[in-house]
Parts: sequence; C-alpha cells; structure tokens
Amino acid sequence: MFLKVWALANNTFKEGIRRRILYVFLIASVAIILSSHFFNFLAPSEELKITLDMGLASILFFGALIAIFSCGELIPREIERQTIATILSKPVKRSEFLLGKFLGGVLLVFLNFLLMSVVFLFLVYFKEKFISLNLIKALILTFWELVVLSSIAICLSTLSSTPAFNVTVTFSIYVVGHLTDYLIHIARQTENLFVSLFILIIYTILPNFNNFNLRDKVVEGFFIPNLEVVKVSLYGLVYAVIMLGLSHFFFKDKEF
Amino acid sequence: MSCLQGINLEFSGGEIFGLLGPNGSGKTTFLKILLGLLSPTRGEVFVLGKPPYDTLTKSRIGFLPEIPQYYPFLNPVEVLDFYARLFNIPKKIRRVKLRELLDLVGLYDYRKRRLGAFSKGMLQRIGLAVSLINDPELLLLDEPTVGLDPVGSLQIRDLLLKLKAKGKSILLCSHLLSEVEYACDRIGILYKGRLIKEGRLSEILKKQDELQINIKPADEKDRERILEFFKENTEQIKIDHPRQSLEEFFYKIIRESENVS
Amino acid sequence: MLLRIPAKIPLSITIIVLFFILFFLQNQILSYRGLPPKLVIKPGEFAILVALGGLRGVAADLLYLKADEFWQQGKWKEMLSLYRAITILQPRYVDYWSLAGFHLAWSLPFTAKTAEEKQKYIQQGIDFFKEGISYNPDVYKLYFDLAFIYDHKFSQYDEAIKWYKKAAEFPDHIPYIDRAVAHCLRKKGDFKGAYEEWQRLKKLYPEDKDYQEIVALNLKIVEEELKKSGKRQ
Repeated sequence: MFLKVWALANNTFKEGIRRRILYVFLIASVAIILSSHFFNFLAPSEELKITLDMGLASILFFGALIAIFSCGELIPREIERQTIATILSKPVKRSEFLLGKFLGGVLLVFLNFLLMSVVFLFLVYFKEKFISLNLIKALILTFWELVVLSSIAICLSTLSSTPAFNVTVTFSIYVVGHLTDYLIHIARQTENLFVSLFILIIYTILPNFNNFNLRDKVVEGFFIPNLEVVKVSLYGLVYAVIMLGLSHFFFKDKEF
Repeated sequence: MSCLQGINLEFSGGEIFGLLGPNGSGKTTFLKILLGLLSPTRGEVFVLGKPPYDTLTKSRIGFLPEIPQYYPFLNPVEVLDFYARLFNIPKKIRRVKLRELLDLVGLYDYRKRRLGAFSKGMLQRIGLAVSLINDPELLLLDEPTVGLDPVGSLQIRDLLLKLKAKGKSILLCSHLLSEVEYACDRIGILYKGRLIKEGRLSEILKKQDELQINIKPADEKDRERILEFFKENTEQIKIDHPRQSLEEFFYKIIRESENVS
Repeated sequence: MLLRIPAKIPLSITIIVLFFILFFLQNQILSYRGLPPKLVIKPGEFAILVALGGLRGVAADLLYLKADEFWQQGKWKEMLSLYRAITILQPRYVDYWSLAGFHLAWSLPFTAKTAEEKQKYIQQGIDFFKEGISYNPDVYKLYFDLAFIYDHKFSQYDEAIKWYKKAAEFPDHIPYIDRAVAHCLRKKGDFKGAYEEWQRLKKLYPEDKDYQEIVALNLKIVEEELKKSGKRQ
C-alpha cells in the first residue's frame, strides 16, 4: 500500500514543482522577508518586531497561497487530463489515491515552506546572532496551519472541479478561519440557547486558524510551553484527518 | 442518455472482440463500468467473476483510454515505472519489465524523451505499454486507433495481433469499421445501449445467399467456357476482377518498402 | 451501489466523532491562550480586521511607521488616531499602549491652549493606560506608566503608590519601582513610612555598591526630614 501511495505522492510532487505560479509566490515571499530589513532603519526601536512580524506573516500568507493553489488543483488536473482513469483502472483504492495526492501536495508545500523559513531564519540570525526556540515553535505551527489549509483545498476539489471556485472558497475559509474566535464572544452574548449552540457548531466545524498563531506571542516575548505546541499540532492533525475523511466521502463514489 | 442493458460477453483466450457502435451508443460507458469508474444505477456488474471495484479484478485487466495524455514532463521509463509501482511490482522486476514493454511497443529508442514531445501514435503505444504492465488476461481498449495515421494504425494493429498470439483476450471499442474488420475475430454491435448483434466476423459478414468464387483460369478458352456455364445456371451474376481494399493495398506497399529498407 | 452505501456510515460516524475530539482540543487550546479581547469597535474597523486575517502584526507595524512619521512632523492628533488603530490590531503588545499613553499624557498637553484641554489630554492618557492594562494585566509596564503619571503629573501619591505596588508584584519589574514607592511616601509627607521603606530596601541588594549608595543617600535625606518634623512636633 505504501509503495503505491508513495508513487502517487512522488508523481504529484514532480508535477507540482513545475508550476510556475508557485515560484512567483515563493519569490514574492522571500522578497518581502528580505525587505523587512530595510524597514528597520525607519524605526530602530521596533527593528526585531518588524523583522519577525513581516517574516512570519509572509511565510504564512504566501505559504497559504501556495497550499491553496497547488493542492486545490491536484485532483481537477488529473480529471481534466484523463489520467485519473489510467490510475483508478489499476488496483489502486480511491483512498490510496487521495492519500497519495494529499501527501504529494503537502510535500510541495513543505518544500516551499522550508525555503522561506530558511531565508527568514538566516535573516534573524544575521541580525540577532540568536534564534529563539519560540521562533521555531511558531514556524512549526505555521506549517500545521498550511497542512490544514491543504487538506481543505483538497476536500473542496473533490466537490467541485472548477479551480477558480476552489481557490476562492478556500481563501475565504482562510480569512474567516482567523476570525472564528470572535464567534465565541457573540455566542456568549446571546441569551438564546439554540443560537448559541448553532454558533458553537459552526465554530467547531470551521477551522480556527488563530490556534496556530503564535506569531504575536513570539513577538511579545512570552515563552511557549511545548505542551501547547503539541496540543495545537494535534488539532491540526485531527482537522486534516477530518478533511481527508470528508474528501473520501465525496470522492468514493465519484464518477468519471 | 444511453442505458446499457443485459450485456453478456464471453471470451476465450487469444481473441480480439470488436465492440462497434455509433457515437453515444454507450461503448465508453460500458468500458468505464467494467473498470469501476462508473457505477450502474441498477443491476450488477461482474468482470472475470468479480465486481469491478475489486482490486484483484483490476490487477488482471489492462485499460487504454481513448486519448491518453500521460504526464508530459515524464519520459516513457518514468511513466511505466510510476504505473508499475501502482501494481506493487518490486524494483528488479520493474526494470526488466519496462525494457520488455518498450521493446514490444517499439519505443525503446525514445525511452529518455519527454512525453510532451511524442506524436499521437507514440502516445498510443505508450498507453498500450502501460495497459500491459501487469500482463493482464483481458485488455480493454477504447478507440485505440482514433486520430492515428494509417501507419500508426497499422503499428497498433500489429501489436494487437502479437498480443492475441500470446493468448490475451482483447475487447476493442471503435467506430472505425475498417479497423475492426481487420483486427477482430468477433464483433458485437452496440446500439442505444443494447447489444443487437454479436458473432464471428468471418460468419457475420458473409452474404449467405450469394457465393463468391475466385478462380485463376488457365487460359482464355477455359475462361470463356466457365463464364458461359455460370451465365446459364445462375440468377444473378457479376463478373469482375476481385478487388483488394485500399487498405490492403496501402499496407502491402508500406510493408514492401519496409522490407526493402 | 447498494453494497457501497453502508461503507459511508462508519465513515460519517468517524468524522462526527473526530469533530467532537476537535471540539475538546479547541477548548484545551483556548484555556491556554485565551480569547482575543472583546473588541468594541465600529464596523469599519472590523472590516479591516477581516481583511487582514492573520497579518495583524504586519499591519500594526506599518501603521506604527506612519505614526512615527506623523510624530516627526508634529501631527500629533493624526499620530494618536493611528495609535488607536494599532492597539486594536495588536492589543497584546505592551509597548504600543505605553508609547501612545505617554504621548497623550506628556507630549500632547504641551500643545494645549487651555488648562482644561491639558487636563483632558492627561486624563485620556490615564484612561488609555487603564485600557491597556485590561488587555495586558500580566505585565508590569503599564501599571508603572500609570503610577508615573499620578506621581509626577498629579502628585497624587496614594494613587501612585497603589499602582507602583501593583507593578512591583511582577518578578521582572525594574528595581526603580521599589524606590519610587519610597520616594512617594517621602513626598507625601509620610517620613516614617518612607524611612521604613528605605530600611527594607537596604536589605534587598547588599552586594550592589551603587544601589547601597543611593539607599544610604535617601535614608539620610529622610532621617533629616524626620528630625525636622520631630522638632516641630
């Protein structure tokens, strides 16, 4: 089973790195990370904060774009090119196919993420001669956020074959996912039990990307306990598994 | 919407079956159902005794889709290797197999060239190679020669005959009648989802109420006598030199040129 | 088809169970990081939040640079409205509150034309610090800033001492704060209290020569004040 999944993932990865739009995002991200260096002379007291803020935000934002664009297209492309018939007519279970595509997509995202992070960490090291563990933790969680986004993108692509639709909806979920915390405030304010329950359900179903946001904490200088990192990583893992499960649900009986 | 009804086909090894039908009669749908790519809305499907989505079944079948576009950035070796891995074929065996397959389809010399640069005929041959990776008992081919020039078609047909000689059963879907006539032993005609005719080509195409006699008269006098006899004793007679088809002629010429070079 | 539908049921059940696990995890996570502050903001500002998603930090930085520009140009009112936006974007970054409050309480009053206006600005500074404290109750700095205003602007030493002491509760507070309490006691006229306080401070860092010098100096001053007041009585 793993040979098949790995073969699919490898193939997906090879296909993905040829897509030019991903290079555009990668270069834009690196450009912004490096440019934060030049903002510093404007506000020397805030130097470190600006570098960290822009670097982490850039990695997240462009990483998200890369995740959405690459993973959202994986399955539609196979369908468009009819290669999906050639794969599914072989003794490959649909679940193996999904898993293989997903892993290939995540590998792609990881490679880009790694490149951006390395540039970023180099810059930080260059300025501070020190990289705090907090920073690494924040980066780890950012990667989990990207994994969750990738899984959402894939799930949507099993529902709709229109790439534009997938990209738009996934991006909207990305934006909304950063604001779901405020839903709890609303839930607490309403007195109607049913409305509160309803909001809570929506809140659970939507991904809460703020969980992965340690960027502010890094900048504020608080130490991040490892347990929290584990909890949040687990959240990411469970959410990705749910998304893959849903993808399987939709993809299982899909007809070609 | 075509609705396939009650189709039952039996194969013995080493046979090519042509499934004919106008566009929209359900040929591709039929193949896809056999492969588990489509599900029947009602009824059951069995392929080699098992349901189509059984992976065991799939490991005994080979499939060539209508217009295979594989991965343009890969070369034949990589493509075949990829699909071979989907069969869990171990590495050592893979290498040997790839070599065999590429030789079979005549693409060994192009093994390092990207698929993006291949002509349609070459892609079709790669497709055939992919469908043969698992040495299937049953091959399902969807319009294997569509879009190919006569030489390309000939190459495919020769390959199919080679495979038939090896004992494989081949189901060929096509709307190109001459192709089917040349390659197939048996045919079936699919129309609006029903198999309305099925049988051996050699029997089906015979006009049962007419006789065809090909003779080479020894001399002119014999010829005259024979023709007189027939004119007196038959209802309808048409006398002419037998005509080979344009295809027969074309291929004869091509083969002769190949033998010379 | 009939054979496949049952397979979807265990899948659905698994997904639902996983969602419950997710809910549990989410609560765990929230108990650590807490909810972001409930923001009482106008719809326009919320729209900006929506647009920024996870990039609030960067937005705050950019606005900060602009605010700095305004400061250089003397456009202090515009600078302050930017600080308002900045603290909404990143309420947990203490320096923003500190800086903004400082400008309100110290810089802006210079531009005031009437005593009333001056008072208004300082009061705004105090309110700003208090708001900042509500979002950042676990850091010493804003308590200190607030105490400083009461101490040096209003000479309300009781208030000042209260806030200094609050700041002193945090282990990483600057040592000056402890001494500030003693200074306030003296300025208030509570020389006995001041004296006791300095005695207590003397025991804190016996090794630090500079520190001991300062303590000794202040002890002397307070002793003299005590003597003077004792004489009067």
